[in-house]
Amino acid sequence: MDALVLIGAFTVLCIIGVPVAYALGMAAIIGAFWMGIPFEAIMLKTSDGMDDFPLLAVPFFILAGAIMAEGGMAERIINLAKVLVGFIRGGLALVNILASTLFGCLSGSSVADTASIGSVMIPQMIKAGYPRLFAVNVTIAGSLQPLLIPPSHNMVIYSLAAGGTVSVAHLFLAGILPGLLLGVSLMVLCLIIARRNNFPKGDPIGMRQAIRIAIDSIWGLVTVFVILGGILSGIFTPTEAAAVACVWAFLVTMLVYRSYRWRDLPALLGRVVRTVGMVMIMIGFSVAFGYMMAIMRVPVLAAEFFAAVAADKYTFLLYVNILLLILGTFMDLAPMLLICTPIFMPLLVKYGVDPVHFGIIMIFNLGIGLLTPPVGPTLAVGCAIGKVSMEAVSKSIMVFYIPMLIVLMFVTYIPALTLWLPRLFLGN
Amino acid sequence: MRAVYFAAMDHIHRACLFVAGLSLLVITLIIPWGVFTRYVLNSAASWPEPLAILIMIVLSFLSAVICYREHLHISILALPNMLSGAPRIILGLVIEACMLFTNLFLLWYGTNLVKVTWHQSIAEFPAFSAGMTYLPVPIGGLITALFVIERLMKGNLFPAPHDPDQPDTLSAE
Repeated sequence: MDALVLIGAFTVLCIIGVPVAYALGMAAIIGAFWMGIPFEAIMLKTSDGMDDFPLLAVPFFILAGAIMAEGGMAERIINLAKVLVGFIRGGLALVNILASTLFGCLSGSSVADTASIGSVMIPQMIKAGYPRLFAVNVTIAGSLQPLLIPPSHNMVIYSLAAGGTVSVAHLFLAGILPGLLLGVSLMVLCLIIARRNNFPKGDPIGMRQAIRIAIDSIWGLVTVFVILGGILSGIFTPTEAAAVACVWAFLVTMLVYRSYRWRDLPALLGRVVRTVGMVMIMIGFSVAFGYMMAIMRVPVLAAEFFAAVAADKYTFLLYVNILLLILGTFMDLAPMLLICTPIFMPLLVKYGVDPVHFGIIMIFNLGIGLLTPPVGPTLAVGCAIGKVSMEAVSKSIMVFYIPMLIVLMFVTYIPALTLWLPRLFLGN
Repeated sequence: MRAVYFAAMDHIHRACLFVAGLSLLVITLIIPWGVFTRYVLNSAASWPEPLAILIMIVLSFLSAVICYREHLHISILALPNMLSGAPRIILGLVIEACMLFTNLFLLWYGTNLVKVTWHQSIAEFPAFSAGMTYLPVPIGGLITALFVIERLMKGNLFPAPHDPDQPDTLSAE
């Protein structure tokens, strides 16, 4: 009954339209009132949820991604992708996917990827004779990769939601192979569609120009090596690496690319502040909500429920995948990570699932939710850029779910795909 | 009177945006400075980390205030969008009542927290007290409550209809 009050209050508040962050806070207050817990405890949990040093990595990664995305990096990455795959039949579709893979090395945001890559690639694809809906679908589907490829701030959020017990460095490495596998599988699908529909080939780019393009884009792509190299070598903590990445991204766009002006800086900071505002208050209230969930034994109840319906690890993971895919269609990624992670954590020990592996499964599932209606911010941005209706895209994008779900199953049932790299570089 | 109140809210909104932006800039600079002192000067500065955490709390609460006024917080608007006329307005008022309640909670209990911890000093910054670090909590609650009142006076209970040609690239993911 206690848990029903907490979860029920949160659900009702969300359904009537109260912002998710404040619905978490108000549900925690209602839960505390119901259980007779002093309100000061809720207050302390909310504010303490925001004064964690690793949490600083979230705004830093958002800022570094924004600087790169708006500082002319997207065009350079697209040019590099054209050198690598643009000459193949259906080349621009492949360029779109590969550009998202490379963009993932700079920004962990699916929406930012769709906006940055889509605004350049969708008009180019349409001009080259690709169907408008196909161009939008490729852009939206490809934008799932940045969520998996490091640096993804969602992995920092998952690490925090897991109580800081899961290392960000492990998560970063764990996401690389699933992200690349997804990119390759989407490219294979694009090749099949391109062959069937006889989509155009691009012209090969000469060696001299290719080298110039590669050198031009390498400055930005070095960011991921600064971050991963710094963390893996022990030079930086993930938070420090994220802050250094901001400074590096800023220097590259200001001094090397010269595509940003000092007077643009306040507007950029303003946009990042708004994104940070959405995330941070949600994290604070989710800590208070998680505290109430623990008091009301919600994770224990969830464990009892899954013990009754899932006999083994594989069935458990199947149910989790189905549940997260459904929940992800109704809510954004960050709040779902914050709400669901503390519930699932005790179950991972029971079923013998590695929390690093599980983090990638969660982000993959909830990332697919960003591309699906009714609440699909990436879908909405792609439709707005491509000037197509959500209904049309929702139907035509179905075929892109096939590689996504196949890769999701691989990631779920072959733990080595996620755990091999972290074990290789960092040990257990 | 209404015009004065709205103008005052505009000023507060701009001030919040300025302080939050400045906070983001400062923490972005002081953390790399900490790395620089550790590896280049061989004398690791101890203040960047705790100072960044203190500024982070300011950034978090003030940026949340900005998001509220600009209708940017993530909400599920399927139900409000299904309604029209009086039921939609009533639902909007219920949502704002919830927002007012939560923010008055932050104001009241945040103030109590500040009072209780006002004389606890922080080891890294003896000049500051723990109470000061909690100040953004009641301040954020107060300003959001003022913005709720403004929204009720203006009647703009829901975000403006989305322009399909203008992608809104802000997302919490």
